[in-house]
Amino acid sequence: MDIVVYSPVWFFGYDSICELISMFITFFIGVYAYRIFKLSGQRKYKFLYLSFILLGIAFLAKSITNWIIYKEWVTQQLYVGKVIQLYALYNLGYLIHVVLALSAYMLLVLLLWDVRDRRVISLSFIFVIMMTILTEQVFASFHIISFILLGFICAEFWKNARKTKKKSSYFVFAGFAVLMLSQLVFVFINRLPAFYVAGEIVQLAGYVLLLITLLSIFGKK
Amino acid sequence: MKEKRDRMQIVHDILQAIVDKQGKIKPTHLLYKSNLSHGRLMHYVQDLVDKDLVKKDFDDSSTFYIITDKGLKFLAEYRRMREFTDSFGL
Repeated sequence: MDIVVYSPVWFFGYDSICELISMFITFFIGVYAYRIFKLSGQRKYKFLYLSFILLGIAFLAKSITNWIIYKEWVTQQLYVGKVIQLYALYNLGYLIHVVLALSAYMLLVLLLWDVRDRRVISLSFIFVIMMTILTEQVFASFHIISFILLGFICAEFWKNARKTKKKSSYFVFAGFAVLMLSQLVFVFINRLPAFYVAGEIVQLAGYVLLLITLLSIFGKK
Repeated sequence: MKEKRDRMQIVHDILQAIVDKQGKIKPTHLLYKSNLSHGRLMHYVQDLVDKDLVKKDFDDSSTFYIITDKGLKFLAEYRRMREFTDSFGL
């Protein structure tokens, strides 16, 4: 029974803060997309707001899980019963994070590919469940799958940026490209704790780019 | 072929048509400008009146539609929303 902590001790808690910031950014985007969905009633905006809200909840789950484990680790108040509890919490938090993050990325892929067939949508989410089961305890697999899904997403955003030639479109592409890069960095967390730190920072940078996009749009009169 | 307008775009086109007529428009002019059937236009206009984006007024037995402050705010917000959705390619 292992609880694997990839973060170096000095980074304990900082990763939770990075994830909380990412959570706020994704909720911000999700809430705005929800407003547009309420006004337009269109399915595509529903998929957009759902994907960002799911991502936000995924980050919240990971952040809370990490925080609790680090707190117990640092205070060294560990005994058999507590370790069993922590293990259950770790598994639950990890599971929630993975299933929600993969669902969010899958929703974005389905949205950008304009998939309307309900059978294909259902099949995609069956794959998400299967991928979650396969990635249990193998964090690298989750990041590889995320990298692939984000690759598809980036390709669509690049096409859109080239088509619209708007600065905001290029920023959205850049944000997701950086997120894709962060997943690649996370794949190597088993090798060196520094990769975990780098991955968290790069991931946060990706979400900050998306926040800059949103703020630049709100800043326009 | 021109892309089909979504609901938000239609609302924007109706409100913009009113603004283009100095904030006050007759139903007939709105029908021409909005490029909608009479039935659909009335459905949208009633919705806009209910949501206080537009108000109905009467002048020498003629009906007019007038854009409200809320309607003007929606127009300003629409541009931002369009920019947001365009940046995601939606």
